[in-house]
Amino acid sequence: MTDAVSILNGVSPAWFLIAAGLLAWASPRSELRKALMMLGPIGALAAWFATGETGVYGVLDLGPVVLETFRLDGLSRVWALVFILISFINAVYALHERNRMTDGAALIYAGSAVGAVFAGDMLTLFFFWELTALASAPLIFAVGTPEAQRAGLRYLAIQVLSGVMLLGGAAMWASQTGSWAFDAIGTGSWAGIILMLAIGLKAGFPLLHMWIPDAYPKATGVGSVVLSAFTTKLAIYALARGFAGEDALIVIGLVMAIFPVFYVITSNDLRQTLAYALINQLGFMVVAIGVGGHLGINGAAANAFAGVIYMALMFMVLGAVLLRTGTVKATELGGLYKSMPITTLFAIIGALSVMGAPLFSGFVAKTLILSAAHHEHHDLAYTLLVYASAGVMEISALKVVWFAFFGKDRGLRVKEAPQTMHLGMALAAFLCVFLGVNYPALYGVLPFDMDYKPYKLASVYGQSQLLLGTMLVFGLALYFKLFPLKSDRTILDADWLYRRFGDASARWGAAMGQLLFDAIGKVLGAFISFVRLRLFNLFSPAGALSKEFPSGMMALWTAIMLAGVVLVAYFSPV
Amino acid sequence: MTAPRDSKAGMHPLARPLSGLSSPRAGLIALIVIAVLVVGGFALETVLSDGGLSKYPEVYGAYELLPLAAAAVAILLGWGLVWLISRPGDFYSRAAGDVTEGQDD
Repeated sequence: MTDAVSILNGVSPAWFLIAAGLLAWASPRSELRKALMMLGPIGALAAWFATGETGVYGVLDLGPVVLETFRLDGLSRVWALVFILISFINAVYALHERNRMTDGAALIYAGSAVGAVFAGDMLTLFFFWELTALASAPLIFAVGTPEAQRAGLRYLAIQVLSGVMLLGGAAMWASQTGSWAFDAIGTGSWAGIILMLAIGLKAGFPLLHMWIPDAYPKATGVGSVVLSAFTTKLAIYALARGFAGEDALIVIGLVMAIFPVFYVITSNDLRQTLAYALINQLGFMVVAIGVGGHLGINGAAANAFAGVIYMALMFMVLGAVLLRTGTVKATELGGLYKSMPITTLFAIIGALSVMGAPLFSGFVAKTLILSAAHHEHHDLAYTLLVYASAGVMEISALKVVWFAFFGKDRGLRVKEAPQTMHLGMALAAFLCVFLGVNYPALYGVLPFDMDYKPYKLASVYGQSQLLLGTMLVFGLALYFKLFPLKSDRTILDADWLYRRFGDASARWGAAMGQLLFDAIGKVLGAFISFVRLRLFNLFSPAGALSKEFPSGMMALWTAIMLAGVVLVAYFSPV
Repeated sequence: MTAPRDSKAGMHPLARPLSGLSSPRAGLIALIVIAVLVVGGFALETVLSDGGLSKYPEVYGAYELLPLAAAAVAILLGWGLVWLISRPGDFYSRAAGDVTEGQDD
């Protein structure tokens, strides 16, 4: 067995996932597709374990450019592992689905994300970066509604734009440094700034974040699980690789962590609520990368690892709710624990992880980031992250659990989720608890060695107080009917800039252009008519030039003109 | 087809022992329990801690209280936000003119 695995040494796990995805796409038999969806991640995991030594594998020498398709180091290793794990969990979760497009796309998407984190150069990164965009869009298109089609197109446009910016920035970077290697970049040059913006577009930087709450709620039930796992976390990896220790990231991350609070509170779509909570979670990681240092990067990696799993679990729960009830609107749900108690249990486990309750994975991951900020004397950042934690993470988790499963009983009596969905959720829930209790397992895969103990009395006590206090505030708001939730409303976000303002501007510009064109046409027409009329008046048989002039008058005018010419010639210098 | 509210008909067998959870009284009891735990927690900390409300040498005061107040303010501000920037559900699809009246969106 060991020998069988060792032949995979140096083979990128990404190829297993991509190959399985392509085969699944080509396969008309759902049983075969499901087998491939399980075997792809298992093969990838075997390759991940087989390549024990860090180093660069899969080198392609193309003359002027050398591509490194498989760079294994502490940073890429942890991201690849969680991507492979979640692709397997999703395969289990999606066993009930019979959709050729999404089955294949999910695997190729996972494989391209793994390929991107293993990329040692920017051209390889660009290839997989764009492949994640192309492979993930079908997860939204598969819904088939006009709304999903439009959301999918918007999503695809933004993802491709990010790739184009990445390539442009990489080309500038290569021309400046003479290297395509993907390592520390920094923001000291225009190339670095463009690269950071390209990555920030995928990471959900403020004002560039709008595609997340736009696209995730419109994907299929399985699609939103997959979408939540890869694209944004890949961008976080790229930031950790290229921009660790950049102070600007602390400010950007704090804004990302705080501003979603209002959207988490007011959004009626529970998947959109989770999408905003995801931005908050990404903000924590961006702050950690900005803080830098071993503790900061470990904090970002731990949060990415734990966050991929617990956010996927929450999206899985809502996928099950969507499958059974046909809606994830908070105002249309309630009392589902009566008919979906097992799913409710998984929702509670996921929520406790999101909230960072002690003994759950969110706690051991989030504490690292708070400690990194505290350790590096970013006290304001530390304080604001505590606020953001209470305001966004905890309220979002409470909101999903309360409005879907408890709250006002809407009389929905539906079947429990399929057992395969339960199995997928159970795997994710197990990891949430396992990593929270057995935290050395999580810390052991982080990029840097450290001796950190999350379960100190002060941190457990403080976090418990924060958690209970937020529950009290949330409960009081519900009890006194102060929670601002309205059905059938759209809460405007930055996407208004292009979906409404941009669209209206383009339409207004087109209308103005048409008016201008018409006006110019009218003026030109009037001028041409005027000239034509004047010429007609001059040259027509009845025109001025056709009249007969007296010969004496003509002789007089000729003499005057001749005198003028003579005078000019006389006074002109020789 | 919906079942009568607070009825055990159609309930999952595993949920039947918990059917009382949806009553208003259960919610109130849960709220009171949480409130007692919160107040008790801060009281215990005040009594036990040497330097007043401090957990870390560098961080003083019941700093968890402020985020709670902030969360409460954020929830209340949500009403203003809803009033200010919420639009009808079909705001984008209809306003952009890419969906005609009567077309399913």
